[in-house]
Amino acid sequence: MAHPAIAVGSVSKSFGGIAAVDGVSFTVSGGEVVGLVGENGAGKSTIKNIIGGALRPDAGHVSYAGAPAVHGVGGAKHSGVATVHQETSLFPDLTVAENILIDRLRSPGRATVRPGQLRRAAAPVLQRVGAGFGPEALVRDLSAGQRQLVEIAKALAAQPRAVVFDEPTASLNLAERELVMGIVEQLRADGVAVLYISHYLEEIARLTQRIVVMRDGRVVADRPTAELDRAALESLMVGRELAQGHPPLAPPREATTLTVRDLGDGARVAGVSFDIAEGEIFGLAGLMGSGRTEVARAIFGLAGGIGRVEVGGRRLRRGSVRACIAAGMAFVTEDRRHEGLFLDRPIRESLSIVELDAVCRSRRTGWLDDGRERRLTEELARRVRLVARGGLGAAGGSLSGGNQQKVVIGKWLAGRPRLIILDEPTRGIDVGAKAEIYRLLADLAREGTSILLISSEMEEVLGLSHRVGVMHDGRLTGILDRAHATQEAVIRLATGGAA
Amino acid sequence: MQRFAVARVLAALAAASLTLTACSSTGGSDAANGSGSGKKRTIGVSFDLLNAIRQAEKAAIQKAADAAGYSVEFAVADQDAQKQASQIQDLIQTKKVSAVIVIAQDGQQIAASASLAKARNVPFLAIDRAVADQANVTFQITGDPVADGKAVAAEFLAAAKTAPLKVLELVGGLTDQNAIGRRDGFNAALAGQPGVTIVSQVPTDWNPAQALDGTSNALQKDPTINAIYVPSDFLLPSVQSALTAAGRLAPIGDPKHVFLVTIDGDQNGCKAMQAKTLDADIATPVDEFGKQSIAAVTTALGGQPVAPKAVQAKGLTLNQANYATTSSQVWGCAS
Amino acid sequence: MNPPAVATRLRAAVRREPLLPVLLVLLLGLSAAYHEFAAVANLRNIAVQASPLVIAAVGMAYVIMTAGIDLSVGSMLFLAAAIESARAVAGLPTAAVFAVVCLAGVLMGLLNGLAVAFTRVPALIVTLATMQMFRGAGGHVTGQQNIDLPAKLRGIGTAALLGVPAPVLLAAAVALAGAFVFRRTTFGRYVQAVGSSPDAARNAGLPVRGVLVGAYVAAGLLAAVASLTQTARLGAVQPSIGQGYELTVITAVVLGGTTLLGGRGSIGGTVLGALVLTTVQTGLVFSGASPYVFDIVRGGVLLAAVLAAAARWRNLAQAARLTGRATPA
Repeated sequence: MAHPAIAVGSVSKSFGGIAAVDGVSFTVSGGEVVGLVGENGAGKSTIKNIIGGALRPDAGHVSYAGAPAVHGVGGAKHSGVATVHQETSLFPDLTVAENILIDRLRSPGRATVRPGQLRRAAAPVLQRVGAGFGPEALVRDLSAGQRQLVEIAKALAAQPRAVVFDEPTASLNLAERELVMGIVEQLRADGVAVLYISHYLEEIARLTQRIVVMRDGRVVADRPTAELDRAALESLMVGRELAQGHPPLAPPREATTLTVRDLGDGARVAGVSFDIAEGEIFGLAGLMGSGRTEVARAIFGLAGGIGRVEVGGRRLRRGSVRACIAAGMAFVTEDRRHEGLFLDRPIRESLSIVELDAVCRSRRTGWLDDGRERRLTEELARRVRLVARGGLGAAGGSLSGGNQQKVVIGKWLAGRPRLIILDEPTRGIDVGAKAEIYRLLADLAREGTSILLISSEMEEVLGLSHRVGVMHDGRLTGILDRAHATQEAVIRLATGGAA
Repeated sequence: MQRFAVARVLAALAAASLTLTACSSTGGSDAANGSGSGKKRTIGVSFDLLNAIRQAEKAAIQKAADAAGYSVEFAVADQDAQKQASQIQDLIQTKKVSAVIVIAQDGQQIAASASLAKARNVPFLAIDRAVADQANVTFQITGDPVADGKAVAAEFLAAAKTAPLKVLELVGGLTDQNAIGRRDGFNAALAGQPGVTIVSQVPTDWNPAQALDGTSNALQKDPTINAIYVPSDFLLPSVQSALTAAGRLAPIGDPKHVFLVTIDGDQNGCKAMQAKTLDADIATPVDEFGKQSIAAVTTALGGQPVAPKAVQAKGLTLNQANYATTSSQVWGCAS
Repeated sequence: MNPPAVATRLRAAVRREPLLPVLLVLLLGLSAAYHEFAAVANLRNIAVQASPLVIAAVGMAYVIMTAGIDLSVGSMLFLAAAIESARAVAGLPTAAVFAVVCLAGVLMGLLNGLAVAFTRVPALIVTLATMQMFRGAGGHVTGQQNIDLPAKLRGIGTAALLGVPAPVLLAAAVALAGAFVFRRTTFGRYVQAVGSSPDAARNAGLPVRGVLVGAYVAAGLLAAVASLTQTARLGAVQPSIGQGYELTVITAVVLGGTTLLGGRGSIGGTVLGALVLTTVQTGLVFSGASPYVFDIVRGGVLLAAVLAAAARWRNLAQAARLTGRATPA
């Protein structure tokens, strides 16, 4: 009987006295795809880093095909274990080929790097992952999805016996997702062992034979995929029963909040027109790169200046974020870690920043009233059901992804916005926190706030929106009512077909 | 995007340097002093900057040149080595001067100007600041920091005959040869001599604020300090401020008086000598610079070799005993 | 207050400002080693000597907090001093002279701020250029001469109120005002927000450019104020004033725990940083160390501070990255 390709035995690791993983054991064998699921902070990343050699366990052991692991990233690679990282570890100014072969730039016995050789070595790997770009492309010029393919190619170039995928599809569009899943299935067929870490339970269900569920640093379940349905999986991850499905929507009101006419950003997006009524959730769907984010940024004055935007019938000066905020707009960015909140500042400061004038003793002086700020931020935290273990004085970076997102939404609620634009509001967020954000959006809409919701998760857009606009190649190709907004209809419009 | 950023940086730098040259050009070359008449030979003079001591050096050169029958064409580089190079080129090639006397802004970069002079067969003389490469230099005259330090030590030893001295020694910049020479000469002359003890050495980096703070701290640490060696007149105001703050600024003869000696001989020093708060000042021999360089020009133009090629001129000791007779020869007392 | 409460408060203060125990240990150690060190006159000396540094460093802290840097601070100090000593200015009534010098500081800061905020040229380059410009302009104004200041302008450096020297009073006022603005006003909050994440600040609709300009103007104004106290103490304006001062000022700020990446830091730490630097300098004179040791010690202090700060942030950040979890609060 052969040894499993990866065996993790009673591994524990703690940071600053807090256990990140505690007595974790499981195995992954050749020709098998094992799913690793759990909420943020459950210990998945720690396990991934221990297997990949970046972290040394405090206790327990890791072995590759029966041989005890040598510590260090190089050791794991040498033993035939490759990791595909979520946050890409690529060098944007090097070519694709250089990135893929970064640890083998020289052929053995040669003193120089030969570009031609690199190109020839990289081309077959790129073909294997179905990349639509060549080995000479600069990584800087690639989209997020294409970069993820480079990341995978880099892992496969070493001909590994085992591959760890960490959220490989988080930034990919539908077609690219299919491509990645195809690669995983091919690897399994080739007899490679795969550990697949993902938040997307559909992918887990489709790809894996076995699922390891982690919670609070421990393995709470290790069972064949067939035995676990979605609901069971979610409650194992969260540790309690979850309310299923999307919250009920109230019908939108008569009055129009946002009017967009012939909007463009001067580059990729042109001629976009739609209205959003008071209390309406308007979903914007489309493939990655279809221009959804650009539409949001153009409306909020962050990019471009073509076309007309009205809020409550008043035409807005274009290109001015302050004018948009003054008119009652709010923007929850796609990149919350860099653009949404202040990771190294107290949570309180991220929450109050938009309406700082409101917590001054007198607006003219700019003299802050600590008590008023505390009351405002505590009320906002309550409204978004923020869970901050360290209190609002802790750094924003100490929050889980879901709670960071609640802060980014919460900071806008202080100004009672008429329109909230959300770009990928639930990306990388736990199922539990996701459900809370859905409910929060439905509640806001019920109170009369209009919402423009952009998401790559089809299910989310369809489940939450009164109407769905679909983008293709920088144009709005159709708007579907809730009744007509089916997955098939959206995909047809998103890929350029007629409604 | 990236390229734009680079372009912006370059543009900013270009703008900044434009402003710099614009600012400095107003202080540009002083008008020629000498008449351009055919017979009189002209000597080109290029200074690094024009402050009080340079004014004195300029006057000394002018005086010696007048006496020897030369006219002088004068230029100031405003502490810009590039500008100095082009000014010297202009003197040699356009103004066709017979010799150049230079105070170099940069002792390394001036080598290019020296070799240009050599190629045109124009004698090249350096004064005050030493030039690194002596190959194409006809004659060089500078101060002698080691001798000046020794001269200061002699004043200390003379004073120590009446009462022992506990000395605070301020040091200039630790990377400046001049500062090191003044320190080493002083220390060497005092080594093994009774009556004078150096209780504290404080670096100043030639920075007035550091001189002030360092003197205050040293006086605080050891209130029995009764003598200070100030390695340049321009640190004198700082030392005086520190003494004032400590209640120790008193004229000679007062028991609180702190024995003070400095080097350079500028107006500060001269004023303090008159006020009898400064005991001695070793003055830069500006007149020697003028006399000897003009003499070397005459020798070189006469086709004779100049020997010796490099001279270090000792400073002129001005103390309270010889003040009446010597002060007229000290450049700082002239104005 | 009962002893445990005192201990708790003390521990909280130490955690906020780790430099506080360092300064205390330095003062106690030097007092134990050198009898004259603990004298009131000496402590007053240290406070007076630290004052210009405190004032300039508070301004620099604002700039560094926006993730910027101001290399021109030493040159601004010199140009401000040069303007103060200019014949046309020094003859005015004292209050008018101070107003003119402060205005000059504001204008210099404004130039830096506008250039940083409205071009994408890094602050390092902008202020490197203005550093040369200001020093050149100062040299032009003074003609590279030593210029004595009239007695009326020296009071701000030498006078005292109730036994407290004027520069110390001024520095304390600047530090308190700086800390208040920093912690308790919208502007202070915006400064930290811009430094922490300029994109997030822009998305929140903050006047990012205005905040940047404000920070550099504050640095320019405070450099001018520092110049007033410094030159008043020196009694004269000399061409080498403020040369290399930017390094001392930046050292004080970084020593105080403000990171050069922006967004994190404190005014209290900055003041402590300036005091520690000055105390070390005084201690060096007391120790009678060789002049060469001075530079070694000064560099060593900075290196130790930066390493300690970097290790602290790195540990936290790495733990967060590798576990995918929150840093333990």
